[in-house]
Amino acid sequence: MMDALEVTSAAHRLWLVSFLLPFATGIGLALWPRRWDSVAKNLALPALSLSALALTASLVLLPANGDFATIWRQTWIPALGLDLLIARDGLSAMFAILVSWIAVTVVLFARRYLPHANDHEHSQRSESAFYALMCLFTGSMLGVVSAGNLLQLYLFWEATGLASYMLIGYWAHHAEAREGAFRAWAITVAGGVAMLVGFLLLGTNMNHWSLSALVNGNAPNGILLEITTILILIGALAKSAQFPFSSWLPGAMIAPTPVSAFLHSSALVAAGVYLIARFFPLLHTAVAWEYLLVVPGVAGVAYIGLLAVRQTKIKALLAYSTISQYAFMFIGFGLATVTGVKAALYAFFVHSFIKAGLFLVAGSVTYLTGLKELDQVGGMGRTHKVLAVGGFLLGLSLGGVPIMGGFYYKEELLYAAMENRSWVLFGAMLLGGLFSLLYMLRFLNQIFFGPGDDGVGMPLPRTMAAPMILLAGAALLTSLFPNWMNTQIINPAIAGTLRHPEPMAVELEFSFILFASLLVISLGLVLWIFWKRGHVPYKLWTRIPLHFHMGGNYAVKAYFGLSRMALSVHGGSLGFYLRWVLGILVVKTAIVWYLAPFPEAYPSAIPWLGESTLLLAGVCVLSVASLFLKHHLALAMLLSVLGFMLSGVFVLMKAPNVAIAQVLVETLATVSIVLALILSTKVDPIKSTMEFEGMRNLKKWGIALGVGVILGAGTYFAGGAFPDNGVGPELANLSLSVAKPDFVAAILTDFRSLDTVIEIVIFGTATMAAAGLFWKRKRAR
Amino acid sequence: MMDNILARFSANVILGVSWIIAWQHILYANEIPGDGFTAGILMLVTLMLWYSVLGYRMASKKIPDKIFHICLGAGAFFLWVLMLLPIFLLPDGRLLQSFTVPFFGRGFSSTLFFDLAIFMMVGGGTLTFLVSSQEVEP
Repeated sequence: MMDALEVTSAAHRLWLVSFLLPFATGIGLALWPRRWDSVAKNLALPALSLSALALTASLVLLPANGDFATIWRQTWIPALGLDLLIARDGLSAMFAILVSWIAVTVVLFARRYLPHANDHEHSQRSESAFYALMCLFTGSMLGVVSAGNLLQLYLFWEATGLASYMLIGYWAHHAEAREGAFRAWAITVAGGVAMLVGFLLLGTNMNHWSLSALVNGNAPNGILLEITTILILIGALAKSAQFPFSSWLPGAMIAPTPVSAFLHSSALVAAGVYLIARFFPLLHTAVAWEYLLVVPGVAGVAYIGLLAVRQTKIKALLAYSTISQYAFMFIGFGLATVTGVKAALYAFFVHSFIKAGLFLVAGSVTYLTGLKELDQVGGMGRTHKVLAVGGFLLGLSLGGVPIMGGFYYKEELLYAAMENRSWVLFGAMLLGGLFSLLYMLRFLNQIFFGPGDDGVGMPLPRTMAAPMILLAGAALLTSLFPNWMNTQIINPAIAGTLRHPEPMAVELEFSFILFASLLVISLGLVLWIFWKRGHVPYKLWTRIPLHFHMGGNYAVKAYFGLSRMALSVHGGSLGFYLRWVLGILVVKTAIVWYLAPFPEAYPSAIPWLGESTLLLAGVCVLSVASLFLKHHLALAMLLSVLGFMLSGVFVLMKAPNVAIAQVLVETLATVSIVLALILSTKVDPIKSTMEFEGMRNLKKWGIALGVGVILGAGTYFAGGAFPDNGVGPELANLSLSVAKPDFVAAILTDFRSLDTVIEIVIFGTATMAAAGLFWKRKRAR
Repeated sequence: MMDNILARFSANVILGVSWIIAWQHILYANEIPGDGFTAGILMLVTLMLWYSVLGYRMASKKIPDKIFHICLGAGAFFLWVLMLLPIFLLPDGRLLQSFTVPFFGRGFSSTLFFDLAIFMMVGGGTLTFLVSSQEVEP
């Protein structure tokens, strides 16, 4: 018998394994050689399956509850009191279970789908890249739901965005894929930045970075609560593609279908729902909470639901339906009531596997027929019965047909609206339900009925049928037993969100809501029949002047506008750049000196330099003389002499090591400058001359003198600006204790490592850019 | 390429000697600050001399360009790891460790790896840039 502590630690270890395994596999596959591409899928599927099993075992051993318990802690940034925390509760458990198992089903589906789709799309992309990204995507989503502090949550949040960006742009040879990926990236990252600002405001004002401490503590007061709520909800709205940030999701349907299935069901867009649920206890009292969730929600269910009805592409219809169905959940959260939250979480759970299944149906249709347009497909109910059964179970469920899963969650949400006396919301959701039924009837009718016998003679591979059937089976279970997962999954998630237990019980009651629902469904069926008979021509829908790309497109337009502005500044003239950079330096320093002048306590402490004074005087004289040199080569030589004289100063100041480095750097710099002059097509280093402008350009002289004054004064004052117990000696002593005399490297690696990272990036970028220019020229020749 | 055999012999000898001096600098990195950088520049200057004497075609046969790309990549990678470790992973934000090699008796510290990475990045990066500027004679 294992005691309680052993069970707890085993469960926690299993959770950690489930979280780390997809990351490890993703990194491994990213480095996978292309020639072993076919083996990649045989690694990704077992790894993701093991991860899902470990997660399930963790929850079986130790069921999650409403307590957001830390299962792993590591000191991270002690100065900020920030620890790396992995935590879990019922809410994260529900999301993690959906993410990990849906990832398994879509990767299983992709085994046969992807090679076929790559051929169809004329793509040469590596399959291992796809599986690596899917693993990293899964790991990032598990990271989001397991993150125990605000900064970790943000990092994993953006990691999901990065993985999805690369997956949406998987077929990058299509301009559509590149544009879709960029649009998704621009909008979700813009939302993510707003969210980060909200997190920073929250963390610094509440003095907590731990999510557990935040959601269990008191809500911030007044204006801070409102601003934080607005910023965090912008992040959620952008990630979940809600109005007005919706335009990226239909563009993302260009991704391979397994990616769409994952992205629309339990990953990426689901992260927005998780964020709202996680911060519900802290922020739901804000006035902005209701408006920012309910208004986009109403727009989503009604307006985007209508747009879904008139889509002509199979995946586009499903993409618009995702926005519309998520809008239902946002309304549930926006009501800020116990019933609303319960209904929204139940809706999320049911919608996840229904939507994943429907995308797999869409992928199967394209696999069998090569067609993507709804109007071109037909008759597949006769040629592929298994696909038809699965498609109908899933489609009718999402359409909200009575006693199907989608029907139950819409009922619960209607009940929440009625309880709140929000009749406008009630009406909007009924309208959204009507559109759901219409677009799913259109989806099923076009694919499985209608003329034609598409896909005849081509069997659906078992590895593609099995995941779809599994998801359809889950939809059937929800229909027959709507409470089948309440105890294990839904109730702990509700407890995690509300911070107290609130059991969920879905029942079919004969009430006003049922009556209203049945009325709307009947109206939908009548409309459908009229539509089928031609009394409501399809063209009517398309004539309604509706534009979708509002809102979200502004983010992309603003980005391109800023890019154009940045490019217009970069005119290509080095003199122009120098004037701007140095001019800003002069103005900025003047302002700083005016506001905070150097304290008098810092008189210059530069000692009399003795012998080196002569050398420094020589440096000054030669520097002035360099202004009057006309030949490029002579100038390069003079500057190198100046550098060598400086190294002499270092020798005299008893710093031989710095002197050696200075000599070597000067040698290298001189050779590089001369080489650049030789390679230049416009300058002959021997013959060409430069024009000396004399005193004509007063603006340039002003900038030059300003910079000279700043540097001279800065050096003069900095010589005396060493406080008695300054940072320098402390750092040196600390470094010397471990690094012997090499405290320079110690300071570079340990104490200013972030600066060093940035310097490395600059050096690497400059080197690669310079080398790239030469490689480009060689290729052109 | 210089046809003078003495020049070629001298370039090869200087290259060998500076290789030894560079490694001496790196291995004694504990003692003097900034040695990885000095060693990198030293090797760089010597290699440039060597390239000038032997000519790009012959020199690139002896030392393929790819080695410099690898040096740049590996140096950058090690530096990233060394920089990010103290920021993100280590409990007290400190990477530095000192240790003594058994039997050898000399003390080393983790800054040795930093110097080594700097050596690879400075040398590899600048040589990547310089050799990419070379045109192969037809």
